Amino acid sequence: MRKGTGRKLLVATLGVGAVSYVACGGVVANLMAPPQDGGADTSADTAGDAPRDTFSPLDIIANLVAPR
Amino acid sequence: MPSELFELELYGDNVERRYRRMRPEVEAMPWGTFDTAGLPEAAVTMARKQWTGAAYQEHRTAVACAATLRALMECRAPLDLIAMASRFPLDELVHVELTARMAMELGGGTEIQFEPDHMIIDADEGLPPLLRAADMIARFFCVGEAVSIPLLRATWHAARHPLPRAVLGRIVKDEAAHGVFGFLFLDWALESMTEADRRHIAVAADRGIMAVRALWRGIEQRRSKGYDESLGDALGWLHSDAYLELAARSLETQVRKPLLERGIPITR
Repeated sequence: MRKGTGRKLLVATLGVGAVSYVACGGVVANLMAPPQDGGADTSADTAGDAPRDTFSPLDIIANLVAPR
Repeated sequence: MPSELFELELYGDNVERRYRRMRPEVEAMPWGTFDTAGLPEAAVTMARKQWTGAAYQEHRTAVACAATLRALMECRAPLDLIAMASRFPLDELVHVELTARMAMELGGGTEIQFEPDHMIIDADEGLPPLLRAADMIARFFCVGEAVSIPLLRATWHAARHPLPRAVLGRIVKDEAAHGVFGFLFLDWALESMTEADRRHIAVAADRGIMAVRALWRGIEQRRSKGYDESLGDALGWLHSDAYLELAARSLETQVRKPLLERGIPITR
């Protein structure tokens, strides 16, 4: 994070529940999707698994908090 | 471009006070009341990850709302319709704060790496302004925001603790207007559009539908076999089976049906 003088609102713990949205992005929406197996470990998982040549998960937004 | 860690801050002082006056409901919520003692550590970590992810998604949605707002002005959409949409970026920022504070309430955010230059896909700059707006609105609002409303509402009903209930209730209240906005825009814009324009909108909507379905396939494939529903509800989300059933139904009723009724030839 940039060095600033503001009050911290969200501070991340490195290595915990790591997710990378680099070069994939995932659905642009908060769909409150439930958690999934493996989600609480420290391994990185991908945010989108769809073929990149047909569409990009960056195409949409939503508020889709999903289940476990 | 190198990735960045998703963390957030407040400016504070007078700036924060102005913001608080705009949205006083945030500070009125029962912050500091969620006691994680007695909950399994893995469940709490999972919840931290889910709420941090929700904050990131809300942040991306704010970016998408701002990009859409610019396109609406460029195509000279009806002023009252633009005014309606001008509230959306602030709504999304409020949701960013609420979900981020939920993560912090549970012990802190988890690690998300992202690329600030690639948070959304803008419409093709070569398109005329009206079609640029329609392209983004089809993906972001007619699909993403529209399908999220019933899912958020169900998650809100599932949450039992007053804090996640308050957070989700606020999000549900705001998102109702976001969900209908896309179709209000289409009802105005389609009058001046050609069949080719409608096909372009259908392709954009199809891209959004495929992205949502890819997310849900991931949930289906990686659903938790040892899920403790009582814990899940306490922390604020639905069981996977209930979520996926509602998601499929909502995509049909809230997205595909209204698009087809308006003559948008989606195929997904």
